[in-house]
Amino acid sequence: MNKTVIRVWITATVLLTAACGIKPDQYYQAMRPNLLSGNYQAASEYLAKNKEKVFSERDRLLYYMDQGMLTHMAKKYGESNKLLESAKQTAEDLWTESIGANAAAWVTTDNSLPYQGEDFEKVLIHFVAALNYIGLADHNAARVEARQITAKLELYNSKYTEGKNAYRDDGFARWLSGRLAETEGGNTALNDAWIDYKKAIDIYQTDYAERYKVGVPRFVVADALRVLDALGGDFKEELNQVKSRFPAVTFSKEADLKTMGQVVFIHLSGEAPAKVDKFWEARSDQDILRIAYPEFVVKPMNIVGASVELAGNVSQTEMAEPLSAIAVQNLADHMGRIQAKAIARAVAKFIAAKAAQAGGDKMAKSSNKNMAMAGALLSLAGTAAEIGNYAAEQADKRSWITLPAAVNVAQVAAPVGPQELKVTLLNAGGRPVRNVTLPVDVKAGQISFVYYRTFE
Amino acid sequence: MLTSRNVIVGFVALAMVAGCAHQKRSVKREKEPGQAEELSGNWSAVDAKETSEAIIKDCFSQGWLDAFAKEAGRKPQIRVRNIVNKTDEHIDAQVFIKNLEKAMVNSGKVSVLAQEGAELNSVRDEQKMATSGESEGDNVSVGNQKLGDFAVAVRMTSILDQVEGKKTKFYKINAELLNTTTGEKVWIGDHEIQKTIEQAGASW
Repeated sequence: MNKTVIRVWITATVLLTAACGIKPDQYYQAMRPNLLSGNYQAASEYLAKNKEKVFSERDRLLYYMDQGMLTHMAKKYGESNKLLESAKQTAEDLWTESIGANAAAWVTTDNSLPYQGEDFEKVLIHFVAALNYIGLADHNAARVEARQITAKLELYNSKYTEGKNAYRDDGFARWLSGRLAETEGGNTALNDAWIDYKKAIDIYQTDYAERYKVGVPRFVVADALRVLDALGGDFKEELNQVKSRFPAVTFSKEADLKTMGQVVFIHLSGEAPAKVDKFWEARSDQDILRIAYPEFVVKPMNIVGASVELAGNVSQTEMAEPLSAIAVQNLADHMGRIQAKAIARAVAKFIAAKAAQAGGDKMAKSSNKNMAMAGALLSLAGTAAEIGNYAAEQADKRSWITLPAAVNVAQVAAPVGPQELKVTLLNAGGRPVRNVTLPVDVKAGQISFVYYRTFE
Repeated sequence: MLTSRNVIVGFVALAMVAGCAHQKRSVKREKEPGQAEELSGNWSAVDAKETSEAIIKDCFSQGWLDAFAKEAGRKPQIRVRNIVNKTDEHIDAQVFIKNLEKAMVNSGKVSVLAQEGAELNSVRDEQKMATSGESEGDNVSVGNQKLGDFAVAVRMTSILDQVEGKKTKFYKINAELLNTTTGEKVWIGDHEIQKTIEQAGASW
């Protein structure tokens, strides 16, 4: 077979090949019954069993994040942390983008690129890892995760100048860092916590209010007031400033809490949105050009918050991290680039298909039998490609699908000893949906974290 | 020219290049820690080292040490007591405080006492063990801890001035020695750092 014919076969293959993208919502729906019934171990086993079938090498970050979340929910904290460390390392490694792969993706599909993770997803890897360490009662290690969160957020801060529409910082992650810093005890810990709480308040009031329509949670302000009050004279000015900005917020004095413990209840509610394909079409005569781009579909959520009670102390959860809104806004930030690539890609493939048809038609008229056959094939490939491009045009629908839709927090002071945290899960109307009781061992002057996940 | 052949060859070339991914990370070790390039403009190793050196130099060049030794006839006992961070960054003051304590101990002229927190707790834990009846030996006793003649107080502040794409950061680190009997400040040392950070607008 001569060179031209070989070249044609290669082209035909290239034109007809569409890298099929993984659809995380597909495997998520397969696991969902197990998730709803709290059977996280079974869900994790399902994902492990289907790993080779579902995830290619390009999607390994997704596997680490999803399996990290599932093993965390199954309380396999050590195993979860190993997976999350792999996730962190993979995200770092993938930060270096291959020029060749990117160029090819402009022509074929974003699905042929490894999934790098969104900035907010990378921060949340540390959040889940911190919850693991809390589960292992290793507050030292949880504080390390908090430092890694701070480092990441500082990096994003420097990446985007103020005013640019992007995920630059995270109010919830800053607050959590501060709360974890407090677990060290002592004035330096309170000082460190104040720096985080101050940033958290600023971020809620600016980025979060603007981008996600969320207000400053009262518990963040209460924590800021408490540590400022405990730090004393040096921070009196800051205390008065925060008090005057938030006159309605009350707080418990640090001294009063010395003989009690503090319980932080973290409620992960709902399911992260999933991406679907949206299409544009352009037609002229028999030609049709199709462009796909991703769009998030927010999943409905019944349980949106909770009321907690411990030894007579009552508190309500407040929305701390609107993950659905963050994901949707983050995609909107990148949409300009995503659509530009999709258009360039569709046009390039269209030209190639048309060129193959025209070239093939010309070669098919050749007196050389091999040439003629190759030409016919090329023309066929070109037509098939035009149809194939239309059918195969797919957006990149990858995202960390096992995340919740929101994180809500309530805090309550508690007497020392083994206690029961009575949680009443509420719907949007404030009506109780169901109750759950969670055990917590409260220690004097210390913070105990309790977390619970709802899907429905 | 956009001939079918050229387009085909172009595609094949791109498809073949698509598989190449290189790991682009290298680690360079600085011969002298604290000398590396500053990257983000935030508090860095360079700042910590510079502050350390300045404060130690200032502390030992003032007259408080000689004055105390002459009056009391012994080495002064010092404990680091209060570290206040009024900046908006997480700055670990222990990085330069440890250097100060080390210089004090190594000079042989100052006695440094354990800091409140993990250090003093270690001492108390050992003493608790001594009185618990679990151990033999009488080398550790309770009630003999030394008191600080002076307390060290450290205060870090910063001023940030910024417009889009450019900011100046001013850090001031203060260290003071307070006489724990009279309340007198016998030494005040400080170090100031000013940086200008410029950044081109971010692109996608």
